[in-house]
Amino acid sequence: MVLFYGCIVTNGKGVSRRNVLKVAGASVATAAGSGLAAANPDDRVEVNIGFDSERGRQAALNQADETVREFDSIDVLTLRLPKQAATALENRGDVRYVEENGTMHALAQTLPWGIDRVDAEIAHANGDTGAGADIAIVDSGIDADHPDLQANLGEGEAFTKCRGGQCNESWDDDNDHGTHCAGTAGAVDNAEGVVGVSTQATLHAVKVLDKRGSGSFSDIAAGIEYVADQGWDVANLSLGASSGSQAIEDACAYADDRGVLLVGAAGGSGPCSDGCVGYPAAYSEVVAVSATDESDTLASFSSRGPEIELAAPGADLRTVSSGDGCDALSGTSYAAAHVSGVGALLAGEGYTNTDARVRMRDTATDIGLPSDEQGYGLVDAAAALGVGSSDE
Amino acid sequence: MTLRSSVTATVETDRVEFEFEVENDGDAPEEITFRSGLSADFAVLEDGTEVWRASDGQMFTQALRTETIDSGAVERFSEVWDDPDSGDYTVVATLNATGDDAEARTDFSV
Repeated sequence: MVLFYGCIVTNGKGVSRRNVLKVAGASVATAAGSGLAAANPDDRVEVNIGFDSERGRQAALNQADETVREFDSIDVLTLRLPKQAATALENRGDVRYVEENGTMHALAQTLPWGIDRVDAEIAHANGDTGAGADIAIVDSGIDADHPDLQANLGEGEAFTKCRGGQCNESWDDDNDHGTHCAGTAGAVDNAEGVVGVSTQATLHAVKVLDKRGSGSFSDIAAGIEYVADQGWDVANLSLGASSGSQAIEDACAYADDRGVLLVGAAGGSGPCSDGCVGYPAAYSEVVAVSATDESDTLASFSSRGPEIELAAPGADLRTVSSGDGCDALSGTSYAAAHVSGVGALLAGEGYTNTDARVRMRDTATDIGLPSDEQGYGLVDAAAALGVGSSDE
Repeated sequence: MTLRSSVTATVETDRVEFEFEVENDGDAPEEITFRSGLSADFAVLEDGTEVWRASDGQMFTQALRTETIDSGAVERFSEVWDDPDSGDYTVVATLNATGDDAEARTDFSV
C-alpha cells in the first residue's frame, strides 16, 4: 500500500505534521523522500502547494516547470519547480503551505504467495496457529531483535560462533538465512512484515551454521541432538551437502525416535536427471522437500529424486529480512521452512511427529508433477488440519 | 557469460594455499547465482583420484545467493589444504553456481 504523504517544511501557517499523518491514515508509516531542506537551491522538487486566492494560485503556476496536478475541489496544486522558487512561494501571504510530495509506505502486513499457496491463512482463520508447538531452526541463528519474530522467539543455543556487531546473543544470526527460514515457518501475525505458516509456534534458534552459511558435520549433529533432548516438535534443516555424514544420520535417527519431526531442504543441485537430493534430506528419518514456483512447477534449481516426500513454495518468496524490510528469496531452504510450519500447526493440535508426517503426505495436493519432483504433492496446511480450502 | 577463471596453488611447508579467481572480461556486469552457502569448491586429484575436497565435512545453507561482478572486476575464493603428503597433484576449482560452471585447474607438487 502506498499513500501520499507530505513532509511539511517551513511555513507555519498551514497544517501540522500530525494533521498530515492523520489524513494519510491511522497506520504507522514511514516516509520515503527527503524534505526540502535537503535539496540544493537549483534542484527541482515536486511539491504540493496550498493557496488562499487566485492570485496565489497564479503565482505558483508561474513558477512551475511542470504542473503535475490541479485539484478540482481543494485549493491545492502539485507542481515541479526549482527549490528556490518553492521557498519563495512559502513566504507569500496567499500561499498557505508548500510541502514536498513523497510516498508513504504503510507498515501493513503482507501475505506472501507461498503462505497463501499452502493455505496456511485458511488454517489461521480456523484458529490453528501452532500455539504450544516448538520449532527449532537449526541454521545460522535467528535475529533476536526482529520485530516480526520477537513475540515467537524461544530459547537459543549456539554450536558455532556468531561474529560481528549484530551478535546480541550467542545464537544471533550473522548470515540472515536462519532468520529468513524462521520468518517463513513462523512469523508473527501482526500489523507488519509478513505472516508465517504458523503464527504462534515458538521459534528456537539452534546456531550450527556460521556467518558464511556453512557448518561442520559435528556442529550440525550436536544441534540436532540438542533439539531432541529439549523435546521440541519440529527441526527445520534448511542445510545440506551432496555427501552425507554418519554422525548427522545418527543424530537424525535419535531425534526421530525422540519425537522430533525432521524437515530437510532437498538441495539446489537442479536440474538433474538421475536424482540429486542432498543430505540430510535424503535420510529416511527426514522429510525431503523440493521447491516449486508460483505456477506449481519445480523450481529450476531444485533437486529432485526418489527421496522427495513433499513439495512446497521455494522461488521468489517474500519473508522477513534481518533488517526491517522484506526480501525476495529462492531456495529449497524456504520450501522446507513451509513444511516445518505446517508440522508445527499439526503439533499444536497434538499430532506426534510420525502422525504429522503421515498426515502431511495423505493430504498433500497433487500438482501433477512426477513423484521424484513433488513426492506425495504440495504440502497443504488447511487440508492437513481438516479445514476446507477453496483454492486447491 | 564472459567469466574467465584461473586457479593458483602456493605450496608452503605444511600446507597448500589455493586461490581461485573469476574475472569478468566482458563489457557488462555479470550476475552469479550461487546454489547454496558454498560459493566455490576445490578438489585435489592424485592420478585422477580425488584425495581431498575443501567442502568435505561441512553442510551449507540451501538458498540461492546472487552476486554481481562488474566489468573488469575479479572475484577471489581461497582455501587451504593442511598437512598434505608429498606427491604430484592437480587442483580443480569450481564455482558452485547456476548457469555457466566456471572451472579451472592447475598441477602442483608437494
